[in-house]
Amino acid sequence: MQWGQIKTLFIICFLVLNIFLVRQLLGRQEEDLSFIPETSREEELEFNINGLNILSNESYTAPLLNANSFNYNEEGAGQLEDLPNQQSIVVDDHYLFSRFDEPVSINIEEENEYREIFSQFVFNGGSYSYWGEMESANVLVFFQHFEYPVFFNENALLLVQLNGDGDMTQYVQTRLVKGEEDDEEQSLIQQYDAVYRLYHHTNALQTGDEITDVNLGYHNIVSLPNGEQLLNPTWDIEVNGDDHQFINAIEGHDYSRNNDFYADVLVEFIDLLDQAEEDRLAYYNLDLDDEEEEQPEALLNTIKQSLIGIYHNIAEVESE
Amino acid sequence: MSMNLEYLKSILLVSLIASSLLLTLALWNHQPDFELTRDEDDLIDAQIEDGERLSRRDVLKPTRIILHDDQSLDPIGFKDQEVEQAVYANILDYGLYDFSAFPVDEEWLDSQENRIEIIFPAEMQGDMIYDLFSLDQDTRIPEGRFNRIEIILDQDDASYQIIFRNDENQEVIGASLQNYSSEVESLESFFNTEDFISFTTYEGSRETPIYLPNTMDRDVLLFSFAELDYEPFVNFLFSKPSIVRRGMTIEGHTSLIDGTRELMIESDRIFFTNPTNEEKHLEDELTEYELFDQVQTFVNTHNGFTFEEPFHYFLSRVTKNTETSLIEYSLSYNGVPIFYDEQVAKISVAWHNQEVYQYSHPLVTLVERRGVARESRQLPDTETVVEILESDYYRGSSVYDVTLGYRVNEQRNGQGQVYELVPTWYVKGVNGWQPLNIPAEMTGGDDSAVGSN
Repeated sequence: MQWGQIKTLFIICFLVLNIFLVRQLLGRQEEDLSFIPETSREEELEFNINGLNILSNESYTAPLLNANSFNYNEEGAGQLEDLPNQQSIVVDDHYLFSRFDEPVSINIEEENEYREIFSQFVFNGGSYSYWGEMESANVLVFFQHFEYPVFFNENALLLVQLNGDGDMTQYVQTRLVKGEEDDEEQSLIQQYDAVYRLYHHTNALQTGDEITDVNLGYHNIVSLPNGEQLLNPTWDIEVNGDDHQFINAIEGHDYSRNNDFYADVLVEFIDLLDQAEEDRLAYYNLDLDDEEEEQPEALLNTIKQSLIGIYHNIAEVESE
Repeated sequence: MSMNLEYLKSILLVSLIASSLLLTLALWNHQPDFELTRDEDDLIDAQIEDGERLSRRDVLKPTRIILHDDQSLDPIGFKDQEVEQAVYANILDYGLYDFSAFPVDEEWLDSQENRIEIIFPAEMQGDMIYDLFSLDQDTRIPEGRFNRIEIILDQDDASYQIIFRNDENQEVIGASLQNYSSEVESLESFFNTEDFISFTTYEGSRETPIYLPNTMDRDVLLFSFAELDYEPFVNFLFSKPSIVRRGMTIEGHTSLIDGTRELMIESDRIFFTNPTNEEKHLEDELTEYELFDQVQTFVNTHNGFTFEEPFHYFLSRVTKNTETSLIEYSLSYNGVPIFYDEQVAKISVAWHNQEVYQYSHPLVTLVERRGVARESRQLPDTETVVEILESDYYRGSSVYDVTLGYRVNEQRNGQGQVYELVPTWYVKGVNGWQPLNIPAEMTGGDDSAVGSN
């Protein structure tokens, strides 16, 4: 055989060998790739959960907020005295209970209208936004907002009680004030990531559920002994139009739900009124024309009885 | 023309040979990237400077090694704890094979007059045998649980040479031992040469024998201590340590929060809680062994075992139920357990959903022995302990094990703050190890006063 032919033979041999080696190498690389589960997990989410198309792709930032309870007596006394048509009690400096002399009509459907009424009749009413209604108790629930609402925080809450005609009869309010220092903007996880974590790390989402809305807000679950809080930016994921799930927007962990939140705060408010001694109470705009000695006590009792009524109503619904 | 073609063919051939060599090399060196890089644990400086890492085997320590010997009436054990630990280390080097599970014949086991019994403070899953005896994963160990190891010394009747049993049922794991006769000989030689003490046998609530030492050291020991810095705990328990806020509680403790988690700094320990992780998700349920493994890794990640020899930490309790999964490590001094005070002598980790839920860690390490303070007069002798266990005090309560350990007390005297180790009887019941309740009329005298200076 000639040298030329031998070369041709060798070329063919090495060509075959190289093709084999390349295939081996590619095969091994694919093996590695198959260990990355992300794609299939995303597909699983997209396959099982509806409404993902409403999620925004924007990158959000928000600061962590350092907040303290507002002192109504020290910082709000003048304003409280100026509020029309109501008598108020402040317990322990931080809890405001106020009862209207004449019920005030309100239409929660019209945002501008109720905001107008609030700015007139409710202490700093403009800084609370509507969240929902306590089932069967005729109570409207508002959360205080610092640009975004503070979710389910017993220190940043406004409960407005309505009578049978839908008019406001009294309200309970707690309030936070931001700390002095400027807080650094934190970059937040995207809405999609929040839903992804909710689906894969908790049992909150079931196949067929629909994401109907996602909003940013704040949430806090542990406070310092002096009441100081660190509010974490939190995604509120609305599921099927009525259920709300919360995901920390910085770290992405879920918050377990306290289903008894309303009952717990009501019990706390009732206890405050029940156990408050004279020196922990401050009254504003007490109507003293009647020359009744027991006026303050009567006001306190009326408010307390209404709250107890609400508590029984929601407790009944729960037990059913 | 043909010269040119031949030239091209040569170049092609050379390049093909070269590329095939390169491809072969690439294939050889190809390391699949299976291990996910877990650098987040290593990045932050969140380790305790003087802390240590312990292997799983390091924390699996027995409370007692008992020899049953046809020569002596009562069971015996080593007088010197160091010898006991050396023997234990020796036993862990045994080669074990041929594991099987079966219900043990109690009569047969009782009739084994020559055997060694190793008793552990906590019940463990069979998988922990891999760690104890450094077995490789190819060895098959059947499912089961154990808190005692029995080594049968009778060579004639050794159908099972080593048995792992628990107090609750008769299901045991048996295995055979390599070089059985020579191992047994060397084990027996220890018992022939070393000093030993005798034990009184008492039957516990699970009808298993409990061994109470007949001789005891009543010395109350004094120790100086070192305080740990709590900063490393802040750094690894919070995901963003920079945002953490601090305040004081009415009790004078420092509380640190990030809005989600809380770290309480008490005078002698830290206590961490992540309330979002309180609820256990069932799909994340671990086996007891996985739980132990993950918690051990968690503590090791930040060099969390803080002690000075001859103190040491050992696994003292594993709790796993629907509410919580909890691993507890207790401190020991020369192998003698210190179950109290929990603040300074216990590391406990509640581990939910593969993450920490609660974590308690001492901020004090006992360091240097400062001598003997006094003799503990209050410590009842073995006879009295049995009397107490049989009295109304313990009627109706479960007694799974009893051991003589230490309790640690903070003492302030003329020399400043010291800690003392007081010999104390402990009873293992439903709620783990608790100090023996001694009825007032049985105490030898008031022992609470500080001894003479």
